[in-house]
Amino acid sequence: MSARPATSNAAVVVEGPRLSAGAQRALREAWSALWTSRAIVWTAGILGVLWFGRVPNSERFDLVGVTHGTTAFNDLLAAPAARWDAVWYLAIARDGYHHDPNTLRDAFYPLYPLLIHVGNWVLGSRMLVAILISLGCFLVALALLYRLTELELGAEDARSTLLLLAFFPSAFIFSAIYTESLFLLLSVGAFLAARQGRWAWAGIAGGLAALTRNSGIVVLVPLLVLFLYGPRTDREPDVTSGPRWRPRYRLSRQLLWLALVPLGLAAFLGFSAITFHDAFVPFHVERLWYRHFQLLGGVTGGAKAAWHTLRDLVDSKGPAYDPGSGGVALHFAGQDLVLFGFLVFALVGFAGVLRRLPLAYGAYVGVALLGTLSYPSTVQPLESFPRYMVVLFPLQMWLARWCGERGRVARAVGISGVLLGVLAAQWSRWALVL
Amino acid sequence: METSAGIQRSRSPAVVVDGPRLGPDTALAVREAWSALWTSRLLVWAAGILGVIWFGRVPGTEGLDYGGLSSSFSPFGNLLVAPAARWDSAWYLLLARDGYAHSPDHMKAAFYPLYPLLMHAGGWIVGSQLVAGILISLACLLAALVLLYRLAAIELGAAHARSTVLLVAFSPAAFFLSAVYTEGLFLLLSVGAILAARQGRWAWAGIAGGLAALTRNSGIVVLVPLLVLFLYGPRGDRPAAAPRSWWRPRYALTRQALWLVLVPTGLVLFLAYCAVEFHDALAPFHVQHLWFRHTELLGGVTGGASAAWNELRELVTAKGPLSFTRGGTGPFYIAGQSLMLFGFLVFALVALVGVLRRLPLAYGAYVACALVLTLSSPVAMQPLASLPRYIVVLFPLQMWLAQWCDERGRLERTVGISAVLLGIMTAQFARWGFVA
Repeated sequence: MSARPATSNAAVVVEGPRLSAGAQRALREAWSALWTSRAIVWTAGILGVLWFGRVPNSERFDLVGVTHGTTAFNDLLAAPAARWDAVWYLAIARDGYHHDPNTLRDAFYPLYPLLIHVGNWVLGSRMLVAILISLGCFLVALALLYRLTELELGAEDARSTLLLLAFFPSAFIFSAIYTESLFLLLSVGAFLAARQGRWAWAGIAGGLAALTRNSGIVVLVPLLVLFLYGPRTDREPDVTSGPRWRPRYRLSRQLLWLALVPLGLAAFLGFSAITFHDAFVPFHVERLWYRHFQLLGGVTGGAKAAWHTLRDLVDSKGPAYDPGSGGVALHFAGQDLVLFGFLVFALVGFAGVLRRLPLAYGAYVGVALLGTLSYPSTVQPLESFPRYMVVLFPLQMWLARWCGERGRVARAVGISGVLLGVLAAQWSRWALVL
Repeated sequence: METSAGIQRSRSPAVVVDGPRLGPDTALAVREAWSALWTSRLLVWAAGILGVIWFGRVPGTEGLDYGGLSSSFSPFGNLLVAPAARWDSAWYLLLARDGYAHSPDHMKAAFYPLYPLLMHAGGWIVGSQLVAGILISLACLLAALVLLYRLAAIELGAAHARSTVLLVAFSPAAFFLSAVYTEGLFLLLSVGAILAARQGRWAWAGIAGGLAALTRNSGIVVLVPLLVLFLYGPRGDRPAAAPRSWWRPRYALTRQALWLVLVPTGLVLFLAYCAVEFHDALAPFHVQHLWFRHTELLGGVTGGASAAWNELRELVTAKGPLSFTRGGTGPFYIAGQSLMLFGFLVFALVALVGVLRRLPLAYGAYVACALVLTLSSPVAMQPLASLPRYIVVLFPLQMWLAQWCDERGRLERTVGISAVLLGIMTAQFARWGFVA
């Protein structure tokens, strides 16, 4: 007689949906990069406000009062996230776009403020929702970037890529009320989907990226390159020999999914046409932000500005500091030199990406840099450059590989971290650093 | 036709002159130390200069630069020395120029003589005591990192040694190690003394310890780990006796222990000088009240914790705006500092436990004695004032941290966190904001 032992009840195991081991690893690495970098970004930002004080007259930067918390302490907590363009995104989330065309806010694309608007129904605080969206997007973006880099370079470099990105000098913007983390998520997502041959997802993510910021449409370039030249994991190349420029994959109907990317932009332009009776308002208002077209004008202008300010600094007759804080000529000297440093890194990194990563990555960075550097600001040619380039994740992938081969990852994170501290502090006190 | 002999003749062997060479271990240590030094210092200078330009000088600090000694160059030159010449630097520059004379209230006696003496000598060579001070600090830091690599490699292995060096170079208060302060020199002498003792070179240990005692008021504490190493090891010079009970020394007392007398001798020399100059041999201790320090057993811990708690409560319940438009002057400036200092205290205490658990007794004894001494001399206004500077030289803390991080694959993240704080603290220091 076989009796089931009464004392050894088998545990009832309910099998729910589980993340694969790879996805769990990616999430773990993303989470640890996220929380450590954000904890220290908040520390630096809060110390920046307490130690260095707000920039004089900064009250005027948020006249609509959308970045003010309910208490003074909440204001302090929000400081590392709610500055500058955050005012515009929160104002759009609250009021939408004005019906008068050619106002400054028309330069901001709608997806992020729309998400804030929706999230506000749930949480009742636009500022909190916006920060949570940025943090959530950054977490998922890091996890996807881990998967993508693991595919291209292996697990060790994937881990380094996340750290180098999370501690990059301008990485405080990823948890701010800005579009950078949402865009990073969508661009990395589009890349990863295309790399895996999931073209519908690539098109959807790319289309949403085009609705997120003015340079979002650029994501189309690497998606097309991946479609035609690979590497793709969905099928073997159709052509294995021939000249380098000849596509390795034949055109197929799946390519049509990529039409979603320009459709994203077209949707916003259509909205502009209906609302403002001018479809190209988002482009026209760039002049209100002092931007103009000049092929690679950012490179020449940025180099010149850095050289002139360095000369001014060396030759200066008065004390090379301001007895108060902010709002002096030498403030710009520091900024010009920092911006030029970012430019040098981007150009060196671009060369590295072209040499060490598949063509699609180089094409993406090349086109994105060309676009950014060809619309310099009259006030400061490289204005906002650190913010525009921080989302160009192939630069960090290359850096991770380069440092990993030389055992320099920790030092690179350290170098980056020092600048992250200073820049996060400066930004939190309402000084324009990017 | 060229013969094989002809070919051989045309390939004349290069003339190799064999000079003195570093051993592979030392070469590796120098390489690691150098790369940690130049990358961290480059960024310290960048952060300091940006701090001055972007955040501006703290209002009302002009009087702290006695005689303008730390701003004696062109505006650009002054900007370049900003990350190195602030606060106590002015005292060291005064001492290097005038010695201990002209100090009616004996305030100068709080500063020990070795570093300003070296600056005075270096000033003859490079023509500027300020530049000499910076060069001395940089050179000492480089040598200290080399020796620390060797020491950590002995205790923990090469991988952890590399991490230790990086964690020291990028630690939040590491800008002091290249400033016109005694930290770089003291780190070199304390690491040198313990490495020498660890290898059983007791004469060198005594000399380095004696010089350390001439460098700063807590220098005498180096005697503790040297004695523990002598009696309990681990020592590289001879094997230990079989342990009979945990408290009984593993090594017998020998005449070599006499070398360690050099450590208190260093302090005694300075006290004797004070007796002559100030007519008060204990002037270095008596003047501490002029720096608002008093003795209270572990008063820094209780005072620091209650200051942090009170400041945090004020921050949370504040009614007015928490930001101000004149950097370094608002009431919440102190709040930021108290919380930051408390963070350093927590790290030091946690790491002390780690050092006691994971490293030989001598390291734990050193850190514990140094911390008890520091935390028992709190400052009235800010109980933990200067703690980050005092603990940056307690290298066993970084040795433990390196091992802890490496075992968990967290080195890069820890260096990143540390570096962010290094950036902001350097910027604050360079603009004459008091951080430590």
